[in-house]
Amino acid sequence: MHKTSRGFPVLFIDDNPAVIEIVDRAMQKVFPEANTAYKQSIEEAKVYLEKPETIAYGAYPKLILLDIHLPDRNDGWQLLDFLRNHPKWRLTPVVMLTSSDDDMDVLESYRQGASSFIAKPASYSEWQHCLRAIRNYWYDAVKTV
Amino acid sequence: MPGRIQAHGFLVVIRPDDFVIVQASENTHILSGIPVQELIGKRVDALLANTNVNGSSLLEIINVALRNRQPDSLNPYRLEINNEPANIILHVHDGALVLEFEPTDDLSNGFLLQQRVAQALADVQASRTMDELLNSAARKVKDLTGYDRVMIYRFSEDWHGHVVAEEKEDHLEPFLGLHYPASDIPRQARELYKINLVRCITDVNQESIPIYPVLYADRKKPFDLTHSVLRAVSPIHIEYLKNMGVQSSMSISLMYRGELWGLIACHHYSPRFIDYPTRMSAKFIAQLLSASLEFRKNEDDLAFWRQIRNQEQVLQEQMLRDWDIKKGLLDHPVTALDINSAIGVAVSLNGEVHTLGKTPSPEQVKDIIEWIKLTSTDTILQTSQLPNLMQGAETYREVASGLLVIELSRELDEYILWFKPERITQVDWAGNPDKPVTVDASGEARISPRKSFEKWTQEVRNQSEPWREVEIATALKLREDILQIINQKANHIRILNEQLRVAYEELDAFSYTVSHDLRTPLSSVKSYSEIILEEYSDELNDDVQDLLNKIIAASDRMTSLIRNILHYSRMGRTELNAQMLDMASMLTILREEIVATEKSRALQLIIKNTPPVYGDHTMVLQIFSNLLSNAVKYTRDKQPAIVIVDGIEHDREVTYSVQDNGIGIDMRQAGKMFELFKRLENAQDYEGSGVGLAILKRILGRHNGKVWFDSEPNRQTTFYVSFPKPVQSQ
Repeated sequence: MHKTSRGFPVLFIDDNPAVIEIVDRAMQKVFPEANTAYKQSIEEAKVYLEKPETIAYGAYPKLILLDIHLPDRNDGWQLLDFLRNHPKWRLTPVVMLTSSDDDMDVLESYRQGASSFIAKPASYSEWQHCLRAIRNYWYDAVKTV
Repeated sequence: MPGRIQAHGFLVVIRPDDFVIVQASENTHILSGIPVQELIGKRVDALLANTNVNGSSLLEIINVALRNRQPDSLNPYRLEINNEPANIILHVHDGALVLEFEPTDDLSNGFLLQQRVAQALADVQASRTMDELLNSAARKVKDLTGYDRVMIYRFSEDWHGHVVAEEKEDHLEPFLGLHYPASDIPRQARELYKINLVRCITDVNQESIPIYPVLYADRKKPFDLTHSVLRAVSPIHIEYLKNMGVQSSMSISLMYRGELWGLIACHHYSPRFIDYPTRMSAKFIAQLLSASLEFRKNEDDLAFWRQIRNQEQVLQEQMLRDWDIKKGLLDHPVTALDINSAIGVAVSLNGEVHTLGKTPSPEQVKDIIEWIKLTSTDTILQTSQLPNLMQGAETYREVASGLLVIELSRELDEYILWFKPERITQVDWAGNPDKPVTVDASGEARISPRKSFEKWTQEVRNQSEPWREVEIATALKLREDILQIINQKANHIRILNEQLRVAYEELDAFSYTVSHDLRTPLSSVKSYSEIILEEYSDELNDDVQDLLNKIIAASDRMTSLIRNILHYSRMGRTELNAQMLDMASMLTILREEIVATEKSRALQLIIKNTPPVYGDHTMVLQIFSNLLSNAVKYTRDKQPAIVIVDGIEHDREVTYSVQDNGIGIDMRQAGKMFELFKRLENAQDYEGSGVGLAILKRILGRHNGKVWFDSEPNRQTTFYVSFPKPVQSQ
């Protein structure tokens, strides 16, 4: 059911274009089913999420990967808050990513409704490993809507 | 002596409203021709039978003086008694008019007196030194009064007296320089001298005359003769004069700032009467002397005052410029010794005693400070006889008989002490001063006048020159200045502390942000290198592949370094959550983790005693994780590597040691060990960032704990960490 012609829609938000480039390569390698949109800021992400095409059935992201630090962690939480209060994205799984290992960040993210929290990979191989795990879980194992 | 007058005159006490006589000396029959008992209750006219004055003119004059409220203006009122010239002297006291009749010299001396007084004034103005001034005054009084001996007698602080100037007949033995014990002029006498400035005794051998009746009006006591010119003195004083061979005397008070400074003391070796105008002239000279005393003393002080105040100002500037009290007081050409006449100064500050000039040893200074704390709570203390006050101070009396101290902080033992040397003096007493009290036949001590005035020489030790008022005042000023600087300093330090705290927090936040922000591009560097290696391996030769692996390795090292810095900054910021920690389980888990990663090695990690530690779990875990991984790291080449962890509980702390048999530490470089990013030479081949021990030290700092180590290169290294035990709340 989720293997539509347009693939498994994923939204990846990170303010660093290098990260986006690396993730894109890794995605193609380990998660080819993903049809990923990349956004670099909250604003871009919001514009994208409000567009009719995005909201149209079959096109909207079924999984959102979000870096907390955009660049400030409050920016990440602000977007999370937006999603959790949005009728369309209220239930969409959001995986938080951060390079910080501050326990408070983790706790606060879960409190604000993050679906899971992943320490941000620091290398290409780690990214592949991480995205493979995400695919195994969110694409293969979990039933999403 | 109450109720009696000297025999050379007459005294009557009169009610001012109706001029009725209420009391009279028993010799007034010479004036009135009637017995004193009959005189009482009569008007004052009844008194004048044997004089050339009639009642109404006397009353008129008295009335005028009373109306003008200046009874003194009448004095002296001239008359003749039995054809001899005499004066009436009037004063008002205790609700009565007192008329005293006494002889006088010929009319003609009024002009002469005036001339002599004018001359005295000129001489006083011309004399340049204090000695000159005093000698000149003594000479003038002698010329004026004709006494055999005129002395200027000066009181010391303890009220013993000292002859500082003398003018006498040649055949008399000099008294100049002699000292007289304080008991020679008792306190009541000195109090009287401050009120009644001129006292005369005409003839010590003449019986004094009682006043009739003994009691005054309804006062139930004799009339108070404080202001009387005829007042008879106590038999003790008469005896004292007789013992000295003196038959008649006069003394005039010298006042300085309302206090008795000294006396002009006149002695005569036969009976002598000085009349009222002459006495007034002598009194005038005494007042002139008193006034110029004040003037001259002030002038002497003023020059000194100016000098030391200037120096004090310099000291203040030095302290402000140096921002250091000790330096400002002792380390410049102008020092704390320049604001008084001390020969040594000790500055006790911050638990240290610094001295300059001749002083007791620092230990002795500390003893003195202890004594000061027991003796005085004043902010300033001065003495010119420390060895007489403080036990043990005699041993250093040569340098410290005089002591002037200002207190800066009693709690911190902070004082400044100045010292003056001992001045050994010979004091020539007029008789042994220790024997003024004699014991009479009944065995009771009684005050009796001294009989011996033989010169008796005493060596006075343990004393210094006294501290002058200006020295004391300047020391107080210095104290104010120092306290102000200490205050400013404290404020300044508070502000600096606050700035430091803010800077520190900013730095922590900065290093946190920076390390965080560094990680992202770094992981990109690594990622891109990996992408190249992975996606394009076919196109790369071995050399390029090798170089790319080096990039990856370098970025890994940098990542680890950044993680450690983050850690270090977090250890300074994170809140401490202290509790008793089960060290046995913590160390066991750590050992399992380490052993698991070092399976290939022959490693023995031995855990001995594990007393509990009071601390933050995460941080203490970090400490032992660092210590154990270091121990394991630097024993990598040992077969077998042995690491021993042991804990000992002491009274106030728990100490753990972590010993290894690794490469060891060159103790010469021990000082660098805990600095951030410091790595020792023999550790270059071992991976590490140089942050681990800095983190460890920081954590222990936050626990009020300690870390230290000992080592022998290539044999062993032992690190010790100690944690204070929690304070038991009672």
